[in-house]
Amino acid sequence: MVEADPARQEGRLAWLWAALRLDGWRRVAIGLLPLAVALVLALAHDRGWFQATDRLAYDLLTLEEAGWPPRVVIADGGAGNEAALVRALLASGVRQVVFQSDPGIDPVAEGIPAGRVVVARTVEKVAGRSAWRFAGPEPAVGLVSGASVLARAEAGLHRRQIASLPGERGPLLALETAATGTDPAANPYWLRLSRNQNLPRIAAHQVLDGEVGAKALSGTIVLVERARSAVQIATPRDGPGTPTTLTEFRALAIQTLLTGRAARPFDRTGSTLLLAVFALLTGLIYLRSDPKRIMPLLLLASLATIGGGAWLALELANVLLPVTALVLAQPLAALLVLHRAELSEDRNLRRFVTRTINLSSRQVLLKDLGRLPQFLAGTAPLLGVGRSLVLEQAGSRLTEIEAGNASIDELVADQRLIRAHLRRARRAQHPIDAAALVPGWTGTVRLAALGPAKGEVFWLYAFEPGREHAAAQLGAAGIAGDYRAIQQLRADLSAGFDRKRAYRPADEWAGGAARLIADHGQQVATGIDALETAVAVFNPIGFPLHANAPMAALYEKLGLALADAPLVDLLAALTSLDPVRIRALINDLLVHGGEMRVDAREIDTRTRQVRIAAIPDPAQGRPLCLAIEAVDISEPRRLARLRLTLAHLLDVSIRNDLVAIGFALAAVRTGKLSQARLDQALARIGLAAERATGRLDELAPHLQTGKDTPTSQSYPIDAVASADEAIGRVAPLAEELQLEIAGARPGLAGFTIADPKVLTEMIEAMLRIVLADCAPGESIQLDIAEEEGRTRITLAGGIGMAFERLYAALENLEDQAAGPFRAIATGMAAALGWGAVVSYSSRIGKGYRFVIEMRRIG
Amino acid sequence: MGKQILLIDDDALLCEVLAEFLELSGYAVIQAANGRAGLERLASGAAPDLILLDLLMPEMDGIRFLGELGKLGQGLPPVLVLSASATASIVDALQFSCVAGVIRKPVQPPVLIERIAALIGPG
Repeated sequence: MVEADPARQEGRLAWLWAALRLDGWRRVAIGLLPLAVALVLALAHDRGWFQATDRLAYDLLTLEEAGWPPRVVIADGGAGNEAALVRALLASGVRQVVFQSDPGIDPVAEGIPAGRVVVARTVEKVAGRSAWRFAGPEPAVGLVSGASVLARAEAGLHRRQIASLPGERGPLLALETAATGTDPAANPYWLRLSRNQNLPRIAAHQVLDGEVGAKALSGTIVLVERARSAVQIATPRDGPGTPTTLTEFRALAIQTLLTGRAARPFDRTGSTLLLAVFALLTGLIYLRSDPKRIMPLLLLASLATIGGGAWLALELANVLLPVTALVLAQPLAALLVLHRAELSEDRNLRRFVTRTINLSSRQVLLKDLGRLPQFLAGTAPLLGVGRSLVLEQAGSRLTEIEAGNASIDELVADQRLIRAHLRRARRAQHPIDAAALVPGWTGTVRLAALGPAKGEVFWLYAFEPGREHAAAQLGAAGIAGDYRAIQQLRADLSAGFDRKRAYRPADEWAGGAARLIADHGQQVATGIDALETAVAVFNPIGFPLHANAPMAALYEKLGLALADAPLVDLLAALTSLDPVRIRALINDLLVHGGEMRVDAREIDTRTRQVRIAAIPDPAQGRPLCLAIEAVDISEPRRLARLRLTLAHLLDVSIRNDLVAIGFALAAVRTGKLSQARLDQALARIGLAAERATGRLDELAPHLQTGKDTPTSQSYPIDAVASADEAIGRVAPLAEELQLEIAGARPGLAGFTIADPKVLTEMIEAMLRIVLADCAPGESIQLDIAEEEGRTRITLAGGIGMAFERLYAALENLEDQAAGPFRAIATGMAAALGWGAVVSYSSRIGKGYRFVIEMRRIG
Repeated sequence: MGKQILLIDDDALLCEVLAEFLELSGYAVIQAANGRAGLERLASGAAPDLILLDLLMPEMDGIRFLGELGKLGQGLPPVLVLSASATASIVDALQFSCVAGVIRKPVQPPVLIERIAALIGPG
């Protein structure tokens, strides 16, 4: 005996799954679900639930089929001449003569061969047993008895006939079975009731009169209808006005048996297997294709297949397939498979949404309310929130979760007022005015609902006086709104127990998540991954939304965790800015928008510049997100230096050549040169021109236009420090010229937005110009002052030059701008990028006046 | 010949052309290829009325020449800086008291003659 090897079987199954390229839920979907459908339908079929429709299908398949050559003939009349009729029929080659009641003949006496006459007899049930027996007197010897029975009608229609009944000593054959000697495969069996089946009739007297040919009835069975039967039965073949008589029904039964076409339903096992295979195939087809697109086509194809298969089965095997169950199996299996697939997709989508929120949105600190205090403590001050109180309402109890420069004790004592505010905040889409709750707080006070946790969480906050910018207020409202949306979404996602929520369609989940993600930055959607530069996107309050691969690599080099490191940490690691300046920078971007640039620390020998830009959201009037871009400028800077060097060399060389040409020409023009010296001068001119041309040709390839160098930067700086550094640089010159640099340079609150290197060079250049233009002993005035949102540096002194000359020197670099003028012009151009303005004036005798006005934050 | 000019420039062609023009304008010209050669001319007894000095030169550039010149003491000739360089070095040159002016190349011949004449008179 060979035992099955489970491992080998598993291997074979694995091969099958691999061949079908199905895994996971698909196995379940195409395996269990269609099988379950098949079993249920097979059971229903077996219980006869589909009998009516199956019979209807049988009628459709058989009523119009072609009739077969008649093997049975009905003989009308012959009453009183039964013996003669039988002899005449047998003489004509008739196989059997069938009487539907006792003909009253004695075959032995009449010389009729025994067993050639079959007589219908009524039957009765044997008392106390499940057997039957013929009723009434026994017929004469030589006559064959056949039970006169009729199978029960189905829905009022007769299409079946009983083959035999259980008798006391073996089966009691029905009349038709006894006449044909055929044992059909099923009992009862189904007749072929084709409307095209010819049932010939002859009159008994024609037989008796010898009008029927000698062998005309050869091989047939003659069913004698001695008196026209009044018994009519309803069959599917009945047409209007053409009912079927009992004799005709019997004749059709005999014809069916003689032609071997008695039909039967497919057996239980076969039906179940067939249904299982069919359902499995359906599931497989749906899973390997686009179900929604092929469903109509597949339905039609499946109906055609079932119809064709049923017809073939009937023609070839006299079997009626479970047509109804098969027809139902296809859509049912499809429905379940698709439903299963949809559920699975829903789950995947839900998982995706959760992952998107947790990873793409990267709201690590927002994931649970337990970390909210930490989150608010770090970020709310960026928006100028000076007081912050996070409260949780559980029932009627209000507790303090987190406080920043505030305490729950500062709330008013009126509990009704508090509860009313909390109710309003819960219903409101935006933070509400809550100054009444904390009378001791100054400035704009807002209350926002943050969503459900153990209880309901609220955020009560107030801006520092003077920092209640609209953008900051929108930003704080944005924090609350985002937080609430995330909490709601998370609550929804874990709402499996909640009927209403559990049945929310997946599209809605995805829609909610997509909206949320969209709220946090279109950059995520528009594929910052495709950018070559390192880019990270942060939400408006400085927590990471997304970082592309180069930025992820940069994070790794900096030893930062991509998921957790807030913008402040990233900028602190990338640049040499201290956290105070970084917060000021973020705050300024949030309030005023725009962008700032800061040179990065050198990381892996590359030089980078960090660009921090606030991406505005026009719809909401607040920054959508903050984009950080670390641009590798090593190569552009090298190229820029090369280009500068070459340009300088070119400049110097060509100027010499031009001078040589100019002076040689001047010499020629004097007219004082001898011919020999004139020739020499002309030769020198040619030589200088040729040299200049050669230099141009030599240098041209190196002066191809390259990528512009993003060297201009701006970020919060200490303007006083820049001014002091510039003064330090020119101190030796001032000392030599015996000049003094005076002025007020008080320590400034907050920061000035500028590029410290450019600012320092610009002030130095201004100082050098003024110093070079001062009489000994004079002093230069350099003042720095704070104004509303501005830092103003004023430099004045010197004798001065005509404004036109100063203007020409500063605005027309190509001509004769010397170093200091060039430095100022460069600074003026860069200052535009910081939102700064540089102005100047000069009059001979009145001196110079330079003013640099820059944005100030904090 | 009248006034004498020490022309210090490393560009030989330019030196020749300038020298010829200055000579045609009535000045005597002594040439030197760099700051060190210029100092040597002075050390060897040359007493120019004016030094016409380029800044960017090999061996000893104009700024170093001015520094060394300052060490020679009083009675030095005025120096007119003639430079193509842009010009932190010009500003540096201005720190030296002997520098009488700066002319940026390219300069028109009449302008040069005018500046020279203003300093030492016509040739």
